[in-house]
Amino acid sequence: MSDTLDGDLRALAADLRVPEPGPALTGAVLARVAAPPRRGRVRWVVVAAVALLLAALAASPVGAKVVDWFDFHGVMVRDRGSDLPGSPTVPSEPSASLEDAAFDPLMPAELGPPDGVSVGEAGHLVSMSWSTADGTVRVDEIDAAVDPYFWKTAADARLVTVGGRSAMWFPTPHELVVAPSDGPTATYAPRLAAQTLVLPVGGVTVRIEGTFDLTRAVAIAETLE
Amino acid sequence: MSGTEPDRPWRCRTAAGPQDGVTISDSADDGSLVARVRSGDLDAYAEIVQRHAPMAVRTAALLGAGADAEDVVQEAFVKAYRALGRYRDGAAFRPWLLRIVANETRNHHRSAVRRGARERADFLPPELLDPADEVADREHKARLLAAVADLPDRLRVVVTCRYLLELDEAETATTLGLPRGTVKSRLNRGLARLRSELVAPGREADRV
Repeated sequence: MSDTLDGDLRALAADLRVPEPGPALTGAVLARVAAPPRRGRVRWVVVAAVALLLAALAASPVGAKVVDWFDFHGVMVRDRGSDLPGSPTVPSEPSASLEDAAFDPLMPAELGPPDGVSVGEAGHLVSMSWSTADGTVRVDEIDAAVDPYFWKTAADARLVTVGGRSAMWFPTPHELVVAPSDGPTATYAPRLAAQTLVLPVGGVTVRIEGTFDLTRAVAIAETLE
Repeated sequence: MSGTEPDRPWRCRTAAGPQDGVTISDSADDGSLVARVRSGDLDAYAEIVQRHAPMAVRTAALLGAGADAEDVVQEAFVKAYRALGRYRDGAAFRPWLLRIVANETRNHHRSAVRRGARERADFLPPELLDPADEVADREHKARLLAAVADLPDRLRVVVTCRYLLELDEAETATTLGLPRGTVKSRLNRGLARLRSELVAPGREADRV
């Protein structure tokens, strides 16, 4: 009997359906070990260092693999230029009121009153759009901090300063990943096939999209109030 | 090891990557990878993660992390990285890592209970794989699995490590942080319990 049980257990072992590691695991681990434990101020330095590291790594075949591993759902900033439709989307409910927002949205004075406003996610997401001579500009504001991994994985981003605050400039459309204090991270797909500036202001994350250059984006961002 | 056939599903289905079906006991290689990690080489740690992830996830899942196995394993790999300074050169790497995985699984389980997620949130038996098995055979396996799941925790984890994870006694001891003798005695008690459990309830002859 004892031999049977032994054998039965082994046969059972071979027949168990267990989860397999997903493709994101290695990247998630590396992103975390590459960064020291969270510390507000130093984070920016780390971002720059990791960006440099990634750039350096990408030059070698092994390194390219590492960079690939950073490319996983929920944490990365993805270049979405290729799969975006040509025409930009704008908030669909121009009548939505900023009153519905769960926080005080910042308005870019430079652009004046928005043509369209929508409020979603129980007031935690405010989207506004403007039609300008240079095309549509879109601003999304989310009352959550940027996911720390987001910065670390934004390999093609440029760290810039806007009104004394750090921000990230993406020359291509990008997803945005935020980490609400009381919930899982949330990903926001790019809404325009355009350049993107992401800046955290207090507890709010602002994304500005438009077919503008960095100088123009910063000029708009600096008038946020 | 036992008569495990090389083409058993879980071995082959481990990873959709270059490490497909890798067997995880090349400690010499682990050692040199660890040395590289210590000198700051992140690629080496990526390799360690890739190599051990399938077994780590399996361990977490079978020790009770269920669907959260991957989260638990991610946490464990981060902790292992930070604990690498305490890893003794020459020691077997896999059980050292699995111990962290096992601890993390326990922590996770505790906090799940604390959150009130499940009062007795233990071990949900995983499913069986092979639908080609004969019905009687499948029923037998299902009963055996249920019996293992019903063991008291301290016996269950030992039986699980030794048989379902196919660790040897020394690895089981390290993974669970128990003395070898305790592993032996709990293994015996666990098996005895399984035997009586399997004989006692529905002993219907598998007649048609």
